[in-house]
Amino acid sequence: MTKIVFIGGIALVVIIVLSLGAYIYFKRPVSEVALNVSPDTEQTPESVSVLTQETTSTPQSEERDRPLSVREIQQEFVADFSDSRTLVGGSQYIFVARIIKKVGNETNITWMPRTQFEAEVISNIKGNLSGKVIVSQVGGYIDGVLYVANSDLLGPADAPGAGRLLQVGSTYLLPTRHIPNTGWGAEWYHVNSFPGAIGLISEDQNLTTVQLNALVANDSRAKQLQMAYPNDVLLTSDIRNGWTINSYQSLTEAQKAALPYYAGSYNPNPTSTATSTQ
Amino acid sequence: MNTSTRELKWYASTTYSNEWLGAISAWNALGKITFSSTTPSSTAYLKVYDISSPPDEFTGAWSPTPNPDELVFNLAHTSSGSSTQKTATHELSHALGLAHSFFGNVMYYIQTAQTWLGNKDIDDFNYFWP
Repeated sequence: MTKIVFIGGIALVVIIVLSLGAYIYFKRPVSEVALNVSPDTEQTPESVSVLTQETTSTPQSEERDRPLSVREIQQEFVADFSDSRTLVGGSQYIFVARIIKKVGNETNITWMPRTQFEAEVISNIKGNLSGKVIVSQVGGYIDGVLYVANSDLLGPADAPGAGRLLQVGSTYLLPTRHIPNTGWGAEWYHVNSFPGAIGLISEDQNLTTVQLNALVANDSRAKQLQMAYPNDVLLTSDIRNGWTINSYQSLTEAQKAALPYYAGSYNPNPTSTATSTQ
Repeated sequence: MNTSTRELKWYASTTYSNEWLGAISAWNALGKITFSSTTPSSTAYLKVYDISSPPDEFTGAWSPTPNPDELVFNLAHTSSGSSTQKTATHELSHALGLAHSFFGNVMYYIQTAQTWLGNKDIDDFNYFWP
């Protein structure tokens, strides 16, 4: 009899533990569930539907951290921007900027979700911007669903600066395309969505400009792009259409001499501040 | 894409109709998906059209926006020929569920002139559509 009671007690404990575990598992925040869904399985509408029904969050106020689901926008790129020379050549402006605030979410008037941010320029690698600019990034929210570009190529989603939208307060190295008078969105600086194109300088929003510039001076990615500038590889379509704004070839000798890597070699005493060439 | 009937009804309005039909032909040869054109565009599962966006750096894109999915060619960085047929096959493959892969396959995410399906493309397709 004692043996039966003992075994029964053990069984009861096991059942309680299993029930508790199941309760905790199924009561996870929906964002945690959604982010664990692989891109391929997300293409099944039924699975997305189930996920959205479970949520009680308010995406408008918590969209940064609690997307209901994540879906991918996929692109084929015109060139291999993992080559720094091509990334520099395919960008009209490359600069370091701190993201101040989100100012737009052009999800309805274009075919692809995009998000615009106001950004404060800290320093330049290509071109000569200052003050505040609007940067536009492919990706954004539609009805609580976060659309991101090429997340299958970006590695872990929780890595700093990886795969998700630019974060307010953070400072980034931004290779951008900006071609005036070419129609929709031409006023924005379009961030290159090639995997790894954006560099994270700092997530600390309290750093001063001087402190951020010190980080940039020692940032290996920034140096890499500075060194690549004299050997920039331009896009065929940019050459064909006259969109090679700020190409190295277009700079005057004085502007070249002002670069930290003049003619590809480190230039410890730049002669003057570079100016933009349109 | 209707996953239960394995049918992809598409509506295309593009200057790259030859490249688009070439892409359809490449996957149709494997015989597992039924492709059919349809009008009006509201009856399609996939809408194909052109944009001209110089500030973007992509040749083509597929977006799973609600009803229907959209596939675009970026006229700013494309021209007729094998490279754009690769773009067409690449983006159509996304609509069929395939993800990016490596050089030697149409799912390589940088434009090349490869118009034929690579081994990884076919393996992934057969995995997705057994």
